[in-house]
Amino acid sequence: MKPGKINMDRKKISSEEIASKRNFEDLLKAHKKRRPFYLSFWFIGLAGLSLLSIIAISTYRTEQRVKLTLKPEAGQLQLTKFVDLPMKNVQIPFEEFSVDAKAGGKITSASGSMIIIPAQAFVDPAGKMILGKVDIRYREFRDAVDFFLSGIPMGYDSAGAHYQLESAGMMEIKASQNGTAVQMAADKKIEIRMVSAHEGTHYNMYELDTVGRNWIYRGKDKIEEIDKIKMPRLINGSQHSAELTLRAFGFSIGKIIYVSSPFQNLVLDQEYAPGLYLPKGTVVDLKVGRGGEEDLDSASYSYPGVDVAFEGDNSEITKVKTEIATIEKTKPVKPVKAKNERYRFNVDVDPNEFPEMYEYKNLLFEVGPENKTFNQSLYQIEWDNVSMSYGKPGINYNLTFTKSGKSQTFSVYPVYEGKDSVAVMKVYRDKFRQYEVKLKDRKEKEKKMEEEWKRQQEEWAKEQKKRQQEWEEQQKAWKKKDEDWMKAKANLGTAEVIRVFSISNFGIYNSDCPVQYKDQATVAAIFKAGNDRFFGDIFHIEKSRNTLVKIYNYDSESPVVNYNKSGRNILFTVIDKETLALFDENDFASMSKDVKKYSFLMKKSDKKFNTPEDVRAFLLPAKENVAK
Amino acid sequence: MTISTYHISKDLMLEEAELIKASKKDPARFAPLYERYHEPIFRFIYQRMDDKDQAFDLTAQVFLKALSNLHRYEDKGVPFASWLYRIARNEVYQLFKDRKAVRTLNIESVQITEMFSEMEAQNTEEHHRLLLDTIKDLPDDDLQLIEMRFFESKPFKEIAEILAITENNAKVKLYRILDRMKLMFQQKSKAL
Repeated sequence: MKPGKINMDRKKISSEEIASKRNFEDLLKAHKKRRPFYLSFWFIGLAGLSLLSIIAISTYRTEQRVKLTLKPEAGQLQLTKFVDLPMKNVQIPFEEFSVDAKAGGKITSASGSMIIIPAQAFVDPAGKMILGKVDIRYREFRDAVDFFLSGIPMGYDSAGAHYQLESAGMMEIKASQNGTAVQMAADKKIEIRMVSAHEGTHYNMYELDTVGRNWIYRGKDKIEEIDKIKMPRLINGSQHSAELTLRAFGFSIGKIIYVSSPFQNLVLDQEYAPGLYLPKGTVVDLKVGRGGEEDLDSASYSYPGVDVAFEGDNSEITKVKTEIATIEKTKPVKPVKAKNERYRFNVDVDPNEFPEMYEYKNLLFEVGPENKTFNQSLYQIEWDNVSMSYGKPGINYNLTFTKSGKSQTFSVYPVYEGKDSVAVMKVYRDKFRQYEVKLKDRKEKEKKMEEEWKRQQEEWAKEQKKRQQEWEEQQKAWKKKDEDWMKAKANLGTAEVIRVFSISNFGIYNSDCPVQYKDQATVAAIFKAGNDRFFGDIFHIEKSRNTLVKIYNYDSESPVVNYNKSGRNILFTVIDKETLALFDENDFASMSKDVKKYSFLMKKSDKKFNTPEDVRAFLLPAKENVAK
Repeated sequence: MTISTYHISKDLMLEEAELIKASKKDPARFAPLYERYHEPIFRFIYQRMDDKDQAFDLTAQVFLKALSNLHRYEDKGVPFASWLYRIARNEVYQLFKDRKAVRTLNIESVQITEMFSEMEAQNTEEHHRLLLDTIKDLPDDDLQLIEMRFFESKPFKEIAEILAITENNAKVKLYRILDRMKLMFQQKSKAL
């Protein structure tokens, strides 16, 4: 076996540390749980297969062949894991938080339990103080289903006696930074304020010792009663809320915002902390402030940015467009050589009105051939008024003759006589060039303005979309907070006290009462799952006791079930790590009370279990009166 | 404190024999043997592993196995400790075989110096690296001998009892391994 790793000068481990892990009592107990090898089924079987089958048949006294499932591997003796997860894929999830290591902080879990971390509480494995963000993982185990899924043993050994632990609540807390576990500073303690459905001072605090494989007694927890102040909830994501300033435990918890219909004139939404339990005597200052006057129950909030219209100004674009139209209208008309057969006029053109006409000399206006009504007699008329206007841009003009209120309009074309052609064309070319330059300039300006306008509109649309998204996210967040509050409120219904204790290490802690049950019925048990004999861990819940009993069921010798005859009992086991088989309360009730030996036929579920809720629904159907 | 199991007195050996006999009838009588050998067995296991918690678990496993199989143990003039070491060695290797732990070498710098002295080579940084490479390339049987002799400072007699070979055989094997290592080391040096 080639080495996968070489450590140079690894830190030595002291004899004291090694000695601290020695525990002969544990070794003896583990040994006693197993029968000596020479009495094991397989040793007997080694005498010969035929002898094996004879012994098998005679041992079980059945006419039918049974399938034997030995676990662990036959003949091998193994220590079982101390925290033994029965269904690895179904776990009580951790809640995840962060605290600043230097400042410390307070964490409120969804159940309402609180973790109070002092400043500078964390050190690295070398003992050096840690700064920066530390990740905290926390979860609670409240009832027998939680205990089952956790794999945490509920037995306790002390002074040679074994006790069952009835729990008022159990928790696990871990801390890490960048994925590396951190420890608590030697002089610091973290205060845990764990909500519990169990009153009573007969519980003790224990810390789970996974190395020594036992619970370590850590004293008594303190109990504070809960004064269940009615906590209203946010309604429909409304931002209307009341601000409660809580002063408790000697320091300010902070501001918690709730909505309640009696409140008027409310302040806007701020920090929200779900499911806070307030000990008796907590001072609550209710502050009210500005707000609307809508009916709270039907209030809905319209985010201010969503419906706002685009407010851009495009008047400059309109102005430029007008300028372009004007310029295009005054497009210089190219004069042509006059035709002898056509009628012409000599018109005094106002250069202000027709600037493109400016500088032309000897320019005449020829009546176009399309004017069918024009004739020579029109020259003889003394007209009241003659005016010129633009015709088709760049093509012609209109000449309008008016007399006694009647007008005649003819399209005319600027022409020149042969001798004036050079001068006229020069003027035309200059004029046209100027026209093009001016038009181009305006068109470029128009283009830039339109682009800017489009950009403004797009930005506005983007901003609206962002505001809409923010609004939707905020509503989702409100909805989540509301759901969290409802979950906490569900717990609120069962919470009776806060159990307060301090811890010096991260790990698993239990508020427990060690008991030894008296006056129980005892039954030698054979377990079957489906039709087959079953070997494996069996779990026993008696519903009035907040504990879980694990029955070791690996030997060919019958294990024993001790149970409370007047209690509500169930037995169950895990099949193939993903489903369960159950001997339910009714099955127990139908069992004769005087029976000394019994074959417990556990009914296999046909479903796979994916969540703790699945398991709870199967083992302890809704509305169960179960100690929690 | 690590007890050298091969320097226990004859009286102590007789006492051990009595304890073993009593433990076969009453497992509670095994306690003194457990107390005596817990630390050396742990150190033997931990020498070969990286994970301290796993080493503690495995140590518990070894003693459980020993206690449960005590009826098989016969006093053949070999110290009880070597029987425990054999169980420990088997358990550790089973773990490696099952890929539940990483085979690890834990070496101190001073032990490397000793090896260089045996190999008649200079202790330089370059040679240090080459030596570690050479050690990693050794077949497992050879590595076990090197480990017990140089990294755990076990006497040849103890090594022989653990590996179930004669003391002389253990010595001859070790020096042959060192010769092969010298050759491998020289070849690696030339390749640079």
